Amino acid sequence: MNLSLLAALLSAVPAPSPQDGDFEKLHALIKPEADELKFLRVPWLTSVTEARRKAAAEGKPLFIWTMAGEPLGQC
Amino acid sequence: MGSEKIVRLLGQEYVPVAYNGFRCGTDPDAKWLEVLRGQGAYVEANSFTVATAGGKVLANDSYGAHVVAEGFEKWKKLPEADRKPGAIKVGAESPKPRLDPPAGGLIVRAYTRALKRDDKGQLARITAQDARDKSVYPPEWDPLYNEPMLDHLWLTESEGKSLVPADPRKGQKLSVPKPIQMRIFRFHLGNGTQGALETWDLEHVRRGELVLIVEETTPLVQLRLEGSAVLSSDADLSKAKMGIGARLDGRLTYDPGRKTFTRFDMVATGEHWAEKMHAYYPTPRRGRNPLGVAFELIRESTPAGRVPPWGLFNGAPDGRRYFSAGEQD
Repeated sequence: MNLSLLAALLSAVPAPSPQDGDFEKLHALIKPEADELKFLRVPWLTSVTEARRKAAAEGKPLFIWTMAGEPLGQC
Repeated sequence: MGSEKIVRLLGQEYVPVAYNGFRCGTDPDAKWLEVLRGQGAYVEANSFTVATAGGKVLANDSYGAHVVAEGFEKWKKLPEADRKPGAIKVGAESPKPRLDPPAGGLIVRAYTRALKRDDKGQLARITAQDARDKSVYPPEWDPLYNEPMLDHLWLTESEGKSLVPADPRKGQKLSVPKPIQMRIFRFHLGNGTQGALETWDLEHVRRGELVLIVEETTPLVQLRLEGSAVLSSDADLSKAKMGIGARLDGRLTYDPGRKTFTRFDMVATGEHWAEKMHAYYPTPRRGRNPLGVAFELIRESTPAGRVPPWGLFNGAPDGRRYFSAGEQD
């Protein structure tokens, strides 16, 4: 690996700032706040068949959220 | 689904189900959805449908939140005999999950958030006000992009054990095994805050190291994790259309008595850039911008907590690419 490429790679990782050193603060900053990702508070099932069974037993309608990917994960 | 009213309605009056539309073919769930499709409902990707357990469609739209209230109103108007508990029998066998977390392994939730630097140069969350700066934020920037994106990191049981020395000593250093390093770098250091997460090929990992340092040994083993990684679409970073340079920091706690991790917290922060991430997704922010990923161990055994990592959907169905991330695809 040539020296200029190595230098570029090393400089591509930002130096930590004083705040960056506060692990707990950084962790909390990135995680969702109370009013974010509200949909996670819904008690989702991931099997339509299980949901149908539960809905039939409890006398409730189904709400089906379909996505091209995992609605409760990345997508 | 951002309103409190909708969240409450879904939680109290419905049985809500989140369905991955990539599961298709002979999946029993997909077959049943054909019943709804036969009534004209759009149940493909990105849709909301209200239906009875017996298969009667009550409301349907492509991501219209109005479906929640509208569907419930129609449900209430159905005859009592059709709505009461036990009125419908569902005898179908539940499909096996296509991808289950490894038995005895670790499930770590990963949140990725687009960040900014504030006036003091500190990392901060993006606000609606920030997005008005069109020199950085594209016109199609959605407030949703200010929120974190979700994913999961899976480690097998033996991988979890490999993170703890057999005879830990304070100050001891050990390198995180390569497959785990590469999995984190390739599948969890990307920007998916505007849609599907970008993942990296092996050749895109330009540099990466991750080490564990034993900080305490009794009564619990406390480990600190340190590392960095550079991933880019071109070895020449000045030419790379996409890349990230990140620093990683973590705190892990292992309980030798219970033989389990009680903490697996990690952050990755760095600068990300991309001219365009996916052909059909919005333009990312211009230039190099801060990105943060926060990992935390989850313990709840809920369906939401068992959702597979995005990286497992990209590649061989057996997850080979994800679990052997240090090897050529």
